[in-house]
Order: sequence, then structure tokens, then C-alpha cells
Amino acid sequence: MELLFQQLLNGLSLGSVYAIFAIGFGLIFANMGILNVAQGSYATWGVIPTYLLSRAGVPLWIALPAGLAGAALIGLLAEWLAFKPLRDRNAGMLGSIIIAVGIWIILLALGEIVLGPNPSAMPSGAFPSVPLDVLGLKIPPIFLLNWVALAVVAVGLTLFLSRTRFGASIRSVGFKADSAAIVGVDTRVVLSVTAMIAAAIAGLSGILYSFTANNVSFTVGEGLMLKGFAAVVIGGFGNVKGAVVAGVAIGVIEALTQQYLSSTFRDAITFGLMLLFLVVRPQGIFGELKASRA
Amino acid sequence: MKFFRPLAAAAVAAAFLLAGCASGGSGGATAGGGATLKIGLVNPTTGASSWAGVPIAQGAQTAVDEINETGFLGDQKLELTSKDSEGDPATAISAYRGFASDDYLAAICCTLSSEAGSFAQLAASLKFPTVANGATLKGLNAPPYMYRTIVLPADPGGMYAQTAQAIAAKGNVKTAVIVETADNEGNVSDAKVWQDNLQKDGITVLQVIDTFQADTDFTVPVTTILSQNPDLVVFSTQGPNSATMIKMLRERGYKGLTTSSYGIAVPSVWKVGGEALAGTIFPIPFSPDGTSDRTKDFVQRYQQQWNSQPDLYAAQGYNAVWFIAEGIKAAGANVTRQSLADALSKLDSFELASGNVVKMVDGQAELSDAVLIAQWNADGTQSLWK
Repeated sequence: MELLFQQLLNGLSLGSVYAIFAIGFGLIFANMGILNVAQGSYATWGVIPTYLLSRAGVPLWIALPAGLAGAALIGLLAEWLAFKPLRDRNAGMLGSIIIAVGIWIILLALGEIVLGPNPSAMPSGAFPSVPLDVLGLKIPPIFLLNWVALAVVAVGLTLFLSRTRFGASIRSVGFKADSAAIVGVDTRVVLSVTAMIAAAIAGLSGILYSFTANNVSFTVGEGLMLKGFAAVVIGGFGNVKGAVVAGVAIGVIEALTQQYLSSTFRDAITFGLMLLFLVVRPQGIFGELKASRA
Repeated sequence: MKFFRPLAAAAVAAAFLLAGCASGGSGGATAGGGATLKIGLVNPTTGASSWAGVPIAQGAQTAVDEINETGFLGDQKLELTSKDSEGDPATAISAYRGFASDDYLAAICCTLSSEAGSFAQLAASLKFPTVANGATLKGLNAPPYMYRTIVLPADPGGMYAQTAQAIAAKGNVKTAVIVETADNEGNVSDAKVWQDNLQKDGITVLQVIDTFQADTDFTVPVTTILSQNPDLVVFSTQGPNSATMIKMLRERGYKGLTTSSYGIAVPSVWKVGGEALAGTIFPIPFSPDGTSDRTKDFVQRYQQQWNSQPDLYAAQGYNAVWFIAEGIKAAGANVTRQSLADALSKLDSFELASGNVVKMVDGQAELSDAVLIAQWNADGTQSLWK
């Protein structure tokens, strides 16, 4: 029984990271209409400043925000240099996917140049690593940080979108950008800020993952991309609650599958669920079907 | 005029025939004095296995430069072309076929067992002399066209067997868990060898845990290991992954012995595991601290060229090139792919960068010396395990 609970904790921790990534990914899709396959690279580019600063002895309370800022900057640059010009030309979803692939490849290559081909790890001592012993279960401090971060991001973003003026602007632009512009919303500012927020959230997930998995590499965001995408599909595009539930569920399912079935089935089950939802309930658990007039 | 057209056609045909003869036959290079002999290297210099691939490429280039500078092949010069396999078998084969269809004399391949699967048959069908520099996949060696210059750690009485024996001799290891990379055939077969040898030496293997090459999070397998509380954990996985798992185990209070293949011995793995690797033991085929003249010379050249110390992967690339060079020398003047293949098949011994002289048996390097077992120390150095 102890093993079951321990693996549950592992799954809840990893799932929290997936959920955070999914929140950012869903935000950019729901409000900018971009299936941003480069989001995983944003996660990596959140890790890079944090890792380099930590290696230089900078404390995490500075290095982590720097990582978030780095990811946000990357997101902003991608928005200004790539996605906005495409929107101005009415390039549509396909165009944005293609340009996102290009951004992904560029960022991946740059990440390899900066970090090198060899995987590394955050320096020992950058964050407490000795697990807490709670009722016979081992809880590494990073697990606690993952759960807290998920709560902050999920609740914070929900409140921001629903209770603030700017959040309402983001939602209005996501619903109908032209109409939002007519009523005085500066869509350029809104989209830029949305891109930065989504990228920073991706960066946060990358940083948390690097500590959880003890892995810093230029490919750290790639695995998050696939799991985060699955979480968004299952939970519902643009739905924060859905991303949380689905992301955490994926983490738990993966952990229990590895323990009690076989590692071989781990990804198959995750993506099998994703396909099932696409076929049976494409709007996801908490998403809403949208009808359009013929 | 009546006979002009047939005569002209005959003349053109003769011209083509002569041109074909001059090109040297089956697509391979031929060399007389002063020729450049091209060797192709297919190797993962990007991607998840580039931590091995990059030093292999560097070690191979060091060997090429040394051979050219010292005039080992007389007027003939070697030229190395390296192509990135990205760790992908299809990319590796495509690059290899590119070399085979061009004027390359020989190729070096197969850093990873996952890339190596079809190379032996391909080398034979293309009649293209090829040296596998790193893959431990069984049956890869197939002379006269396919050779392997690394000593297989899984050979009977080899590195793993000797390490298992040494561990058992300590007397305080009764149980073990083995972690393998399930989608790497070499790792899987190595894990089986570990299992067989440990059990033969009286150590009970409690479980074999699967991981995968693309895995980056090992929280679940580490928890599974801890639930078994074995005296020994054997990692038949890639070095960085092994280091990650060892670090997680130590953070969670694991006090037992850990061991792995020499993939854990490279300095880049220390960046992943750090002090947590202290006490991890591994058999090792090459050490830059070796005292042989061959090792010292190789280390000096490599350091001057690449500004870093060579590791065992650099030595693999170096050994593969030197093996080909020995074959070229033995083949004599006007070497072709076939004459090189024949010469390589007759080489019965060969000196490695470590200074060990290995026997070549059926295209496979075999070590007859006792293996060195080293360990990581807390300060990042390595020493012999006592």
C-alpha cells in the first residue's frame, strides 16, 4: 500500500507540471487561435536562464524569475516577429502551425548550442532535495513546489481572466478580435501580453520539470509538449480547470501504469486517451461544443 | 561512309569502357601514391546520444590527423567525413548508403545498438568495409566486411562477468535490482548478462525494471527500486540516465551499491549525478590516466586538438580509424574496398588506445586481460575499486 501511495504522489507531482504546461498551451490556443507547437521550446528557454544563473551561484529566488522572464521574452519575440505578421496576412491556423514548427526548430537548435548536447542537472543545493518523511512516505520538496505552483497558476490565471479588466480584454480578443478592437481593446497589446503570459507559464513548467526529473537538456520541453497537448485535448481547449484535471490525471495514470502494468504502455495509454477524446468528445471534459451557422 | 557509323559507335563504346575501368570498379576508392583515402563516419553528434557521439567523432579525427602527420600510410592520406545519424536508425542507414555509393573506401558506424541492427547485412551486400565503433549488439561482426573494435563487456568471462564476480566476492551483496533501457537491444542483452552472472554468483535478482531511451523522468522506477531495498542496483541504461537515477536514489536515502557499464564513467555524466555518484563502480576499457605510451600520446594529441581530455568514447573513435589504417597498410598499394576487406580479415591483433593488444577473432576484438573496475569518488575523480 505504501508503494501505491508513493507512486500516487509521484504521479500527482509530475501531473502538476503537465497541468501547468497545459494551462499555458491552452491559453495561447484559446485566445490567439495558435496551435503553438513551439510551446515546448518556450519551456526549455525558461530552464536555460535559470540553469545558467544557478550554476553561477545566483540564488533560485532570482534565477527562477529570470527564467520566467526569459521564456516570456521568447514568447513576445515569436509573437511580434512571426505570429502577428501572419495574422495580418490572414494566414489562418495552417500558417500559424507551420511558422510554429519553424520557431520550434530554431529554438531547439539554439538551445543545443547554449546547453550543449550532453544532459546536465540543476546544481545541487539550488533547491532542497532531501525528501520529507510524512507517514512513511517520501515527499521531495520539489513535489510541494509543483503543487503550490499549480494552485497559484490555475487560481491566479482564472481570477485574472475573470475578474480583471485586462483579463476581460483577453477573453474578448479570444472570442472575436475584430469586435474587441471596435470597442476599444488594443488587440496588439492584449495579444503580446497573452503570448508572454503563456510563454512564462511554459517556462515555469520547464523549470519545475528540470528540478523534478533532475534533468537539464535542450530537449526538456519536448516531452512536456506532448503530454501538455494531450492534457489540453482531454481537458478542453482553453479551459483551466480541464487542463488541471487532465494534466494531473495523466501524471497519475502514467505513474500507476509504469508501476503496475509496464512502462511500455505508459505513452500508449496517454495518447490512446487523447485519441479517444478527439473521437468521442472533441471538446474535452470541460470544454464546450461551439456551433457555427452554415 | 558505309562503315563510319558502326566505327564511330564502337569508338564511343570503347571510350566509355575505358573510363569505367579507370574509375576503380565497384564504387570504391583506389589509391596509388599520394592519394586521399576517404573514410565515412556515421555517428550521433546531435540528439540524446551525442554525449557519446561527439567525442567519438573527435577521437576519430585525432586518429586521422595522427596517421597523416606521422606518415603511417606513406604518401596516402586519410580524409574523414562525419555524418550525423541523430541517433535515428533510418538516418544512419541513409548516411551510410551515401558513403557506400560515393568514393569512400570504408566506413565507421554503429555507436548505438539501436542504429546497428541492419548494418552487418548492408555492409555485406554493398561489399563496403565497415567498422562498428561502439554498439554492443550481438552478431554485428561479420568479416570480411563488418568488424567491431570494441571489446564486448558482455562476453563470457568479460567485463560484466568479472565485475559481478568481484561484487559477489565482497560477501555483503545478496539481492539486486536491474534497470534496463527496454528499447535498446544492447542494453537489454547486457541486462540479461548481468542477471545471469549475478545469479550464477549467488546474488538474487529481485526485479528487472524497464525504462526507455527518451525517458527524462525516473521518479517512478526509482520508487520501485526503493520499495525492493536491494543491496545492489545495476544500471543497464545510458550514462546520464543512470546518473539521474543514482542521484534520486541517494537523495531518498538509498545506501546500497550501484554499478553500471562504462557509460557512466564519462566526465559529462558527473555533471548530472555529482557527488551522488560517489561509490558507483564500473568496469572500464580506457582511462586517460593510463600509463601506456599509446595512451599518453593519444591523450596529448586529443587535448591539444580539442582542449579537453579524451574519454572512452573518444578512444572508440580513435581505435576504429587506426584499425582501418592498419588494414590499408596491410593491403598494400592500390587499395580497394575488396583488398581492404581481405586485409582486415587477416589482422589477428590490434593495439587499442588503452595500450591493450586485443585479439581479433571473427571480426570481433577480444580482451584477454583482467578488467579494471573503477569507481567514482566524491570529488569527481575516479580510482580503482577496492
